[in-house]
Amino acid sequence: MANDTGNRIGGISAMSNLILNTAFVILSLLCFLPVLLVIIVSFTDGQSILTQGYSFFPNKWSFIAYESIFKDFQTILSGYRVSLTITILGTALSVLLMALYAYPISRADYPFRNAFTFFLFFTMLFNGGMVSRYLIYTQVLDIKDSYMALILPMLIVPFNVIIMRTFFQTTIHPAVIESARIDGAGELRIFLRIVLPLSLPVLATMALFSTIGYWNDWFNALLYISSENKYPLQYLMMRVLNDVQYLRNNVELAAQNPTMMKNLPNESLQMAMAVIGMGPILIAYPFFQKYFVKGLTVGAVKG
Amino acid sequence: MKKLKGRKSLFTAIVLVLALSLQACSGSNNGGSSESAVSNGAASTSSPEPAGSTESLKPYEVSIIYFGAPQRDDALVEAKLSEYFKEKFNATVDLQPIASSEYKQKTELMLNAGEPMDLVFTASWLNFFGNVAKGAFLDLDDLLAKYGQGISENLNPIYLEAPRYKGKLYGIPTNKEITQGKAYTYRKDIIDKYNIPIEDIKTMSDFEPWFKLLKEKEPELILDFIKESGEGMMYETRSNFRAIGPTPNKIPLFLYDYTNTDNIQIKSVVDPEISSIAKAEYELNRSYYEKGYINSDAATTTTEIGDLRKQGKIWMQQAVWKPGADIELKIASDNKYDFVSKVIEEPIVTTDLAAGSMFSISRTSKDPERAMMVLNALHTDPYAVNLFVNGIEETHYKKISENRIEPIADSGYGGTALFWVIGNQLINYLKPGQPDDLYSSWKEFNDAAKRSPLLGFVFDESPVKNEITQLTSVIGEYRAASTGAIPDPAKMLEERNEKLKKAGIEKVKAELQTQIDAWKAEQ
Repeated sequence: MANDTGNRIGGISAMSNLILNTAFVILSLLCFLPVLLVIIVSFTDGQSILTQGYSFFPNKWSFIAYESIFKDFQTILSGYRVSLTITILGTALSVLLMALYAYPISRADYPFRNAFTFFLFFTMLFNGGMVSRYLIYTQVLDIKDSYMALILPMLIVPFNVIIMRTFFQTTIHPAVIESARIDGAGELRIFLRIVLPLSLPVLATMALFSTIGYWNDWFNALLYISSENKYPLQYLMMRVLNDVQYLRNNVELAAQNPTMMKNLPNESLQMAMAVIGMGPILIAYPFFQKYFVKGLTVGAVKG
Repeated sequence: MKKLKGRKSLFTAIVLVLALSLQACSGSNNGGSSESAVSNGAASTSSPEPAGSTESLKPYEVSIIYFGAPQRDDALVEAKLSEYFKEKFNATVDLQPIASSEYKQKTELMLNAGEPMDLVFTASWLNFFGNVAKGAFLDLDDLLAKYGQGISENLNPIYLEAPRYKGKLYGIPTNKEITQGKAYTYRKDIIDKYNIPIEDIKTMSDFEPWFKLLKEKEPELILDFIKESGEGMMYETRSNFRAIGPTPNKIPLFLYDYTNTDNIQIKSVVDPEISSIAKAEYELNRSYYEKGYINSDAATTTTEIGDLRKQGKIWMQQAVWKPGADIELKIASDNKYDFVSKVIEEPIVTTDLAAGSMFSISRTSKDPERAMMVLNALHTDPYAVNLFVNGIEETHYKKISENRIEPIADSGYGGTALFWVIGNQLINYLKPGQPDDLYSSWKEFNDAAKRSPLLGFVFDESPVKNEITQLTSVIGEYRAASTGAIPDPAKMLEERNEKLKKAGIEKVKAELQTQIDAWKAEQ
């Protein structure tokens, strides 16, 4: 394999090939090893973490972290359910709405284009802050403690809408739209049958952003959710980690109540939670992969 | 024509989007509205007018926002408590536990947003006085007199002097140990083995011969574990000075002599008298460090002393002390070691300590009278407070005797430490390991506690906010100087003091003194 590349025109020499491959192997390891370490630590006995530190070859293995997580598997399960629900629903809605916003402002013949673009852009520069948002959500929209409170905040990301708009502007040639109209298609049909299929790469990108965003979001749950069965998985994990952190940083509080320190989850438990939270998103990534590789090989306009 | 058609289908699109999003809203709401009414739900069902006298109490749901991780059986306990309070004064409760790490942020938001709430857990370290100044809480003097007689009977009167603002009461402290002394706490087996006379060890310099001996005989031990700051108890052991005002990173900047009750003079850390104490302690730490008595990573370590204690590496620590503290430490180290303490400092009651755990009533409460009744029950009724703290008998714990229980492991309630949060700890059931006389010794401890001459005084930082920010950054920069891990600490100290002067320490001191004098004049 490596020796034919050198003979081909535009090929690279075996030496450079080796160097390049080594560089990429190292790069891949840099990405992969930390994840592996997290998984290994999650199977390490708490006592040996204390004495030995993190290690790829722990002295003593243990399943205790996973046991204590699955003792409470009802909670984990409900966390999974909520996380998956908001991720799927949120991503679908979010991509659709952003496309519906981005497409009109990408069209040069849309009269209110600048006004709507400014309306969107303005929110990127100035926002009302947490308290005002909290007030709107809890008192005007009244969506405290509902799934809507987890979906709504990340539905439209202004920056992503602008990326989408740019994509529509640069890749969808006005001539395509014009010819579709001559063939008798209405605006909605053009959007659904011509523009969207041509824009799969950007839609996939946005869907991936959204998926990751929704999956990793815990902050909105912290602010708006108060019933235990509506907490997403990430929040449940965050809470455990934060509580540990909090006690470690507030030594006085802990010193006054040593019993609070007694039941602190150790680091293997924290890592086990990270492992459990990682799963779905790792599985989701390959589904988007093909759209990024393909890129766009579509020419619909005769030159 | 073409344009019109475009407009029309655009309109269709908008309608479609709206329809879709509406559907999404209603869908999620249907899916989302299960049990556990939220506060706004509770508000719409309850009567808006406050209950009149005690004749016919309308049903009312009292929401309790408190500091503790949610537990699996919260709903069960909530139902039981509601059932009990319903018979007593026609009130149900809505328990809203908030985990420790988010408590401050979440409650601040709720207070700022003016959400309907009744009882809110608060404390000096949760910005209680700031929230009072903003008008978040109701003034409780009259309510306490009318509906909280049980509280006043049980509570040491000193408690009610602390959570006051401009003379009015805004919080009801939890009845527990009112203050803490500072002590050297030792592992008993080491003390016995080497016959170490702990009565004679009163300052860090008295440790020298024992460190020397133990270094040789017990090489496993970390003789003097220092983390972040090596100041430890230097002021308590070497002087009558106690900290007051802002203590960035837990490093005191201003001190006063607590024995001098009439004429309180604030001194800052750049004052020669204070500085000499610090210099002596820093240099002592440095010499200990060089001899290898102090952990070598003192300046940077993030290790938890509790973990080290469990591993048996700690034989001495500087700790806060109250009756029963040694037993708590024993429990916290999985009952591996016994501990014994020598109290160094006479415990004094300060504003911050006395206001360290309280319930206030939010100004958004629709029926403050009923909230006070619930709070009164939690202070006086052993059944109610133990139900709240320990859960349901036979489900979450087994009763061993009249006032002693054995918690059932992994029962779904009782794992969160609520005893210091809710009502009255002195009527809590005792847990395994706690001595029978724990609460009576606490009562004695509380009665004997000496009041700080500044009890009830709160420093308002707003006029010198900028200076305090700058002072904090200087303190952060020189924080490690006290740990012994940095060479030439005396020089570092001088440098630090110069920078503190530049950052305006004198101005803050003057402001503090002015406020104290004004407060004194009001008394």
